[in-house]
Amino acid sequence: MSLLAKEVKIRWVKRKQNKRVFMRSKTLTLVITFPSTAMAMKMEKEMQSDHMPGRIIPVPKAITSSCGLAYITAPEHEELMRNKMLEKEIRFDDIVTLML
Amino acid sequence: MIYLDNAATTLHKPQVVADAVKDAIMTMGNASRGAYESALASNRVLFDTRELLNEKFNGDGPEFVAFTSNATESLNTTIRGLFGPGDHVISTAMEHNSVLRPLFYLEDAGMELSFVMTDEKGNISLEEMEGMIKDNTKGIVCTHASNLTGNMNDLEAIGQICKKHNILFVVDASQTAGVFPIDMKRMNISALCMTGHKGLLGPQGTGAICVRKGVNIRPFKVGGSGVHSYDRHHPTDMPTALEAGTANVHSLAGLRAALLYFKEQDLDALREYELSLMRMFYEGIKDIPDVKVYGDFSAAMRAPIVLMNIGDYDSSAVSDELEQRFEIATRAGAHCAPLMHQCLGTVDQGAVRFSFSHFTTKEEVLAAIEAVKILATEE
Repeated sequence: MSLLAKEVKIRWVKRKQNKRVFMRSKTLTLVITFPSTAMAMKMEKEMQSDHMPGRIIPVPKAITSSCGLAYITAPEHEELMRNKMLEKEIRFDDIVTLML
Repeated sequence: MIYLDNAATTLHKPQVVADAVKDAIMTMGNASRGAYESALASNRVLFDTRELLNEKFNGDGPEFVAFTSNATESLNTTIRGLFGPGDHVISTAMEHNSVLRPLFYLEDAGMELSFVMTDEKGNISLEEMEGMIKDNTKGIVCTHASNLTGNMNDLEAIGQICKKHNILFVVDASQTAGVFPIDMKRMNISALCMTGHKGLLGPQGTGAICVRKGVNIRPFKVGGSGVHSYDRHHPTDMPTALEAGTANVHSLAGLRAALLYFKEQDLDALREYELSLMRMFYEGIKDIPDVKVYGDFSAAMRAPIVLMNIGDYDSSAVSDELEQRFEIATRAGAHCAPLMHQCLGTVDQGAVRFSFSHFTTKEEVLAAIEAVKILATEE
């Protein structure tokens, strides 16, 4: 077994020991999807420059069976996000709350 | 070597461009194909570069900047995506084949095409251009500057004509994107097509189209988009609509670095320096017996290009002598500008093109003048 494979296996065992098998624990998350990757990148850049909490993830299958990038943050920021996107002219497809 | 073929590509790039390409090729993944750090790093480079281009050309937003592999792809995408059978399009004799051939392709398919020819100095008449507009005219496609003579078109005036007649305005900025001011809104430009490796000082294999909001270009290529993968058709949102397949992120990282380099420069000073080199060369050779210079040097603004011939020597032979004996790189032949050569009467002889950048030195220009003197006067 390669060193890298051994390392991955160790991580997996540790996760099992912590009872966090396969995935991190889920929390209620606000997920925003966009019509293009460029718009997702605009979201990330604008939110970072305003020191807003959040990050980019692959679009969850629960929203669409397609692919692409989504922006996630805490549900309590929904109104703030909507206002920011309006102010920064960031077009979005959908805003949903999911257990992620 | 003295490199005087900057109208073909700028050979000397800022060091930051090479560094950015090297860094990107070792660290960056496939943009839009994952949300892990190396893929996101690519996405950020793409978005940053869109922002920088949009800002430089005063477009409608970074999402309206689509990347291509060069100006030819930008122009093919734009021309074939905007016009079609039944439309009438006006262009000029100053165009490169990257404009002419997509137009001829559409003409063969049933589009009407008119050309404004130039006078002996290589200039077009805007009155003649406006006079060609008719009911089915859909747009004007023209270059900002001839890649042959360096003569520039008045984009603001042509943009006003297009606005007045409510037609599209497509501009080929291959020779001017870089140190020349281009304002899409003020000039009423519908689509601005460019390459990244000439005046913009980026790597080869980069290009872009800046499209105004509401100008819908039919995609020239469709395929992998990283979004809406189960849809039968390619997404229609800009910029995805005009981009398919893996982006040339490694080279676009270099273009981004070049655009950041320009932001720290005095563009007016760089342009004036390039034009001063061009005028120094022009003044140095124009009175040499047997030397014929083409183009209009009375205009204050022109691209830093000087086109010339010596007697009736084959331009290829002159260019080869310059390279073999003086290590001076120039471009001979037709320069992919057949109509412009027709207007200048240089179809058979071709012409020798000298083109300058702000990395060219005065000493190099003086050496080139001396070389032309020697070639023109020796028995």
